[in-house]
Amino acid sequence: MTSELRHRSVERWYRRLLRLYPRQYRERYQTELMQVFLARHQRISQKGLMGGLLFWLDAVRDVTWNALAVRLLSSSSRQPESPSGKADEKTAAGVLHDLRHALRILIKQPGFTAVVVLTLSLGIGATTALFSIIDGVLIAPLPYHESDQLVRIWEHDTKEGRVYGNLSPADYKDYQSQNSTLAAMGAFANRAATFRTPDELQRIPVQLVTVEVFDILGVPPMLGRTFRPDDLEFNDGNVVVLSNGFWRTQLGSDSSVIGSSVRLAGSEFEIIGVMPATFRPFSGDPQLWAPWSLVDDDRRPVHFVRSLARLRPGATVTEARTDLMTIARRLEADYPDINSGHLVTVEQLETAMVGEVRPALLMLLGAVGLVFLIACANLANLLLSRGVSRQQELAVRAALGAGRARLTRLLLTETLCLALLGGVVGFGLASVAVRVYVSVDPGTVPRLGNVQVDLSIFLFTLGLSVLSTLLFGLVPSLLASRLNIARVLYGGVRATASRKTQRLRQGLIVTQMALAMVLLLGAGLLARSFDRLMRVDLGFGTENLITGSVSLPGRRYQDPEDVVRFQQNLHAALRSAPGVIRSGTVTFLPLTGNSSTAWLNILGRPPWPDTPPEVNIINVSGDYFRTMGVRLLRGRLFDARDQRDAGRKTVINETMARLYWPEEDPIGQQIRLGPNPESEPWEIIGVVSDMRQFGLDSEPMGASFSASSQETWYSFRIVAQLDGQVDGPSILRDAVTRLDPELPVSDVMSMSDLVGDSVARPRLSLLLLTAFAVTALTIAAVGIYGVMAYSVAQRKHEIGVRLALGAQTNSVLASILRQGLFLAAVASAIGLAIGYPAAKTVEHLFFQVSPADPVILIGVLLLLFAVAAAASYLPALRAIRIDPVQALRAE
Amino acid sequence: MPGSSHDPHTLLPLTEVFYEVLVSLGDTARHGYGILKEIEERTAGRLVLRPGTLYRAIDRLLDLELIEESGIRPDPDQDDERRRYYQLTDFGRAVVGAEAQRLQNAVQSARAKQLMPERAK
Repeated sequence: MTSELRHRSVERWYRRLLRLYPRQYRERYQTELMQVFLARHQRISQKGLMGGLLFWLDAVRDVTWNALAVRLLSSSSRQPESPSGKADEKTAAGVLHDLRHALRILIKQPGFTAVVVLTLSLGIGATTALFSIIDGVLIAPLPYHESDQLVRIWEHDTKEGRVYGNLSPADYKDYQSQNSTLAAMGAFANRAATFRTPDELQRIPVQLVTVEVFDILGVPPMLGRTFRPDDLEFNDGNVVVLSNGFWRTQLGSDSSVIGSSVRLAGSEFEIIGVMPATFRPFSGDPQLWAPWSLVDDDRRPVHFVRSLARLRPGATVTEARTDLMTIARRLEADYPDINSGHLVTVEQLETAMVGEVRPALLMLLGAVGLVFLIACANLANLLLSRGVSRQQELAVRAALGAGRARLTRLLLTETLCLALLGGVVGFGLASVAVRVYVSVDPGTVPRLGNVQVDLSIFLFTLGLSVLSTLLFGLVPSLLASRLNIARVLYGGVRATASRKTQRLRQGLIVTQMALAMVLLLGAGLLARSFDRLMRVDLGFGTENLITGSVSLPGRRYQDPEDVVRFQQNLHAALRSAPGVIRSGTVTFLPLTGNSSTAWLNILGRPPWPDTPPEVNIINVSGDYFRTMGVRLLRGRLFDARDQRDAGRKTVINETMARLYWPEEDPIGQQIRLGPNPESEPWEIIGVVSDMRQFGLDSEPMGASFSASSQETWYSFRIVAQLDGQVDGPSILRDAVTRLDPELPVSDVMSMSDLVGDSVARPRLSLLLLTAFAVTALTIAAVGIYGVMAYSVAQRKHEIGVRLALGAQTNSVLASILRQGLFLAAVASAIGLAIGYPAAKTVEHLFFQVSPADPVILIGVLLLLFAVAAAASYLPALRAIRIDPVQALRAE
Repeated sequence: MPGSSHDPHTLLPLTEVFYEVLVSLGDTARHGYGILKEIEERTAGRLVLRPGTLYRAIDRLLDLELIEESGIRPDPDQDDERRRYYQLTDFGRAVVGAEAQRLQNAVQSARAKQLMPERAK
């Protein structure tokens, strides 16, 4: 900016700042103030950015402070000329006067102020914290170019009921070439590769992507370039693009990495690009990307391709869905024996990334909103009773000429101060809470890295504070300002609440309790649901089991017998290690949701009418079944007889036996796995109990186990059973390293941690909802106590009379308790009326629990009544201690 | 409304800002920025007034009739028409004199009790 422009800009800004002064003052001194300011600004203009910033801060402080002083202390000596200026000044002076008065009152009553600010800050803080998470996760757009045009494509296998399945290479290429609604379509797959750091050997996540993928995302690299079609031709595909995180932690943010190489999985890869820090992966958490080509792969029955695409400009997701579905049906007709029942799923990328948590987050937002409302209701109650006790003071003001509008404004200003204070504290609490949560979240919520408590969140908090002022301040202020001056000042009448105020207070209490009941209902149902989830029979033991992943590189283990030998040596090493009872290996652990499947055909039976059913195929070695605590139901397990040349043997699970041999013994039966009718059949030698392969809430599928000695896989998980407190991870790593120092062990964890991870999300929802429900109940209880205490104080005289006339203390107690319980009864009815339909809408978040669960309903009702009774009890106790003589005398 | 017939002592003690502004006008009429600069130089940078504070003081001093707008202006070729010049009123002169006297008495008392720090040699 030229100095001329800068000068004018400075002038403009200072002129704006001067608007804080009263108009009349400005008319007198603005020119001079401007001159002096500019002269001073001239002097500091060489002080640099920091100096300039400090200068402006000082200027703002100077103007703000003095403008405030001028307004507050402006005496009548400076009579304004114009009538309109007068009203302007008066209002401005009046508002500031109210502000000073409000602050004085609040400081004089620290107890009241503290309670209000605390309650508000909890309500506002909780709402703000949750909103900032929702903002970052659900609302903020994805960090890609025009991210709403990005879609994910899956195969929808209607036979197996799998909506988000992988595509086959041939299908993928057909979709790519035959569609009319996509601008570009790419494919990716998530893999892992060994990488050696100075300390250890790791397996790091790598994402294979076809050339189109980075272009589809539209995010340019920070350094270098992304993939080109000729990368696979000329470079043998030995190039990589690094993630920003990998570049920072492993290569020290060296900006000259382009062209240098990195060693992965035993080969050298040239670094051609680095992605910026703002780039977030759309699937998994890859540290690097490598190029992928499906050009030579035309297989149709094998499914391992995942796809990302960009819509053509003007095309919608629905149109793309229809378009691809048409292609799917065409493929079904062209290849009936392979593609029958294989349709396609198309979803916006955003839905794919956060769709899973959206219902839970929104439910929590609803819950926290209820807590906020309950807090406001409580405060409205508090203010109503205060309004009543301040009638004397308000009457005096009214007598001195303050109109109703003026009084209302006075009370509202107090409320606004409280609300703003509550908002500031609440914002602070929210910032801390969010920061803590983001650092401890075990991956249950996606896109958490995007969450930040910033200016927009602060504005949200501010808005909430103002809203709460209106909600809990407006009506009490209006009611309090409506007084009969003469009655209050001269009538000698004790400050009492009008009938209308009392009704309103009771109405607020009932509302609070009803809302609290809704929250309790939700928490109760979730708790039951979670309990059921945890009781699900996993089918395997989780105590004292340690597991780790290895992947043997084909170059060094060329013969499958090498792998078998490795496994045998591993089991021997582990068994001899102190603290290890037994061990085994498996290709896919239960509960991980990973599996490989194959078509099942049973020899001696007529062929299936259309596509054969699928079963999980799992490969094991060593003492896997006993290590996992799986029971043998019939036949035998694998042993030394089951060698490569001895005829294929399989052990099946209970579900598979039940589904396909309901009336007969499966032992000795022969099955064929896979599409090839000439493949060697498997003989069933044993049946074991079920294990849950997918989540806790999904039914087990048929599974066929094979022995590693007969069919060998190179990547598998090791499981070892420990006999107490030993360092499982070290034992596991040592055993592997001693056999092969170049082989890293990854994902080492205990089985109970694995199970824990699979319930992390429902557990989190439960924890939060319970926290909200407890908070709500506490606030409501405090509210009830307040109302009941006030009511007792009002009726002191009447109670005193009753006691003096010989009424039993018990009957007084009973009448007060009855009052409280009556309110609770009304609240319960309303709470149920709202709660039941609400629970039905989120029914799918529960597991094996019906919203009308009688145990929960009765439990919640009892809790509510108990709380109402307890909250009424204390004031009731105080009531019967009233000295009748005192009560009668106080008039 | 305070008038020139008032006893100057009723306005004592003066705040530091009021005092320094009045003192700076002791020898000649000045405009706002001139007052600011003179004070800064005279106090060797100890007191640097901000425009807001300065003009609030000027406003109040005008109100109390301790200063007034001056008709005396410098040569036309050095003058800026927008600038307003201020000068002490007789009452103002009396007030600042009374304050200076008060301060001097205060210093003498402190000196008598040897409470003043030693003068630099």
